[in-house]
Amino acid sequence: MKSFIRKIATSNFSIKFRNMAGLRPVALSSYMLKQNFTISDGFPWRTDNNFKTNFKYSDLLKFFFNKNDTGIEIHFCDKNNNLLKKINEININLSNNFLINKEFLNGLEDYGIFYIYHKSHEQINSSIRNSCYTGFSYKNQLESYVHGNCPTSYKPLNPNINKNIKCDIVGRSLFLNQNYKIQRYFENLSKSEIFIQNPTSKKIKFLINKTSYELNGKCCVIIDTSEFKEIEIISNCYFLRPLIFCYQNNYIDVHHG
Amino acid sequence: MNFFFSIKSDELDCSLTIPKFKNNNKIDNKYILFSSKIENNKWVIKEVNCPSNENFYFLKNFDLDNHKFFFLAKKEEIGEENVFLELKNFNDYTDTMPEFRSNMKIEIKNKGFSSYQADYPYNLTLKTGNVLSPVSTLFNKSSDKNFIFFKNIYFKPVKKEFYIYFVDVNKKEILHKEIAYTNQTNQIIVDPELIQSQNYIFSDRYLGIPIYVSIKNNHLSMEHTHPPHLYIWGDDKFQKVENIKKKINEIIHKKNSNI
Repeated sequence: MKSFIRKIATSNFSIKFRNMAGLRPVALSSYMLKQNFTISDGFPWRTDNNFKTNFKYSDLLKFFFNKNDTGIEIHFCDKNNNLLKKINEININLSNNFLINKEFLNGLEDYGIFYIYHKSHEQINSSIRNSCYTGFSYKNQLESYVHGNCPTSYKPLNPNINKNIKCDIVGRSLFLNQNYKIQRYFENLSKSEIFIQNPTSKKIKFLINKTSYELNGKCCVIIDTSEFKEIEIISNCYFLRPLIFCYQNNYIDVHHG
Repeated sequence: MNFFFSIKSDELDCSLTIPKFKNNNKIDNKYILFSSKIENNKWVIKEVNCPSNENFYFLKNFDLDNHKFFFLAKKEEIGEENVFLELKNFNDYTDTMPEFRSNMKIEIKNKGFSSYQADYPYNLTLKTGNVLSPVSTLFNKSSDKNFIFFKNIYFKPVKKEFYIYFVDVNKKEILHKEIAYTNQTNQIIVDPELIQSQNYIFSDRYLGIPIYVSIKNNHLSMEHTHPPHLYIWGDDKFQKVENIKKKINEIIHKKNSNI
């Protein structure tokens, strides 16, 4: 009986209902993704304002599962979640890097999100989450690196099974009931920005220090926060942790909030 | 609970900002800042007097070293006796999701700067084992300098020596090793030749947090790597990682290992 109740309580429908109503919400839902899925964080990229983005990733299938027929595909989306470009790589090394600059994006100077999916025709007993590292280079200087922050979308590991990409690992509420205050004091900076991405497929609403915003599913926005020493985010998303860009003249510091 | 730590290095200035509030913006002003450090083989805990405002404590370079760390607690949780034979889990005030974090900033004066959360969970202090972390993902071979700062906090007030190995996981060879100590921030200068796709660091016997710092043209980057099991979702994630660590343990404990 207990396992039956648990099964119902952790079904997709129940989790959505619990999240919407704010009843024992599940911030990150991974119950269904324990076997043969490739899960990607949503990785921010920037080519605007003299930025380049370097992505460093590992061949997780080779490293953890000794698989040799591995590959990856990376999907680049603009800030409005329009697909810009897909790349496929095979015969990758244990550690790899990939440069995203405006030349790679046909001259586009903007920002958005990319996702990486690993591929293998062999099955494994687990799923893998790519949460690797993006480095942001400002004015051609040393990249400031951050790790992936939020599992966002997924698809089957075997590309022949199903090509559909799904998201909604992160839960969403009907109410603006999630309060997240960044545990950093913003001082002695010439500028600061926060990069916010919506990890869900539906529109979310949020307040940054009482100013109201909306963001459609899987879209992102950069907000100038230079006027604030403290930043509070109130939202209806259960995991809305921004990436922070701090500037002191030509020097930058990028880190998770 | 979380402890908060820092880096002390000749190359860098460091500051540590510790919030008084939880990330859901709830605050209990009974929680104040304490430091902990080993003296005469015991943990000595002291209340910290440093600049603060309504929401943050501000610790500067001269307040910090590679042996001391900080935490929030109520005075009555520490009690009259400020000397302990083991670290304690004094409270759950900093047990939050996402993690309660401080902001450790390193900088080259008036030039580059970089931040990191610098939180060390109490549960990690109770465990021993191996840290496995890739060398090349957070470094750039062309940087002027690359450092790994390996932070260990162990619940017993001891300074135990252990090794951090650089291992080629393809060739199954040890390339280099460094001595490290428990209960301190250990600084390792990384030779650019070691920055290769197949090279990993591997700590022998003690856990910790490896923090990667690069310097180039006075610009800085600092970030930590994830524990490997976070890349696997499934019931066998710890077993998978354990199998890899077991193989590396066999390499480093081979009797004919001559590094």
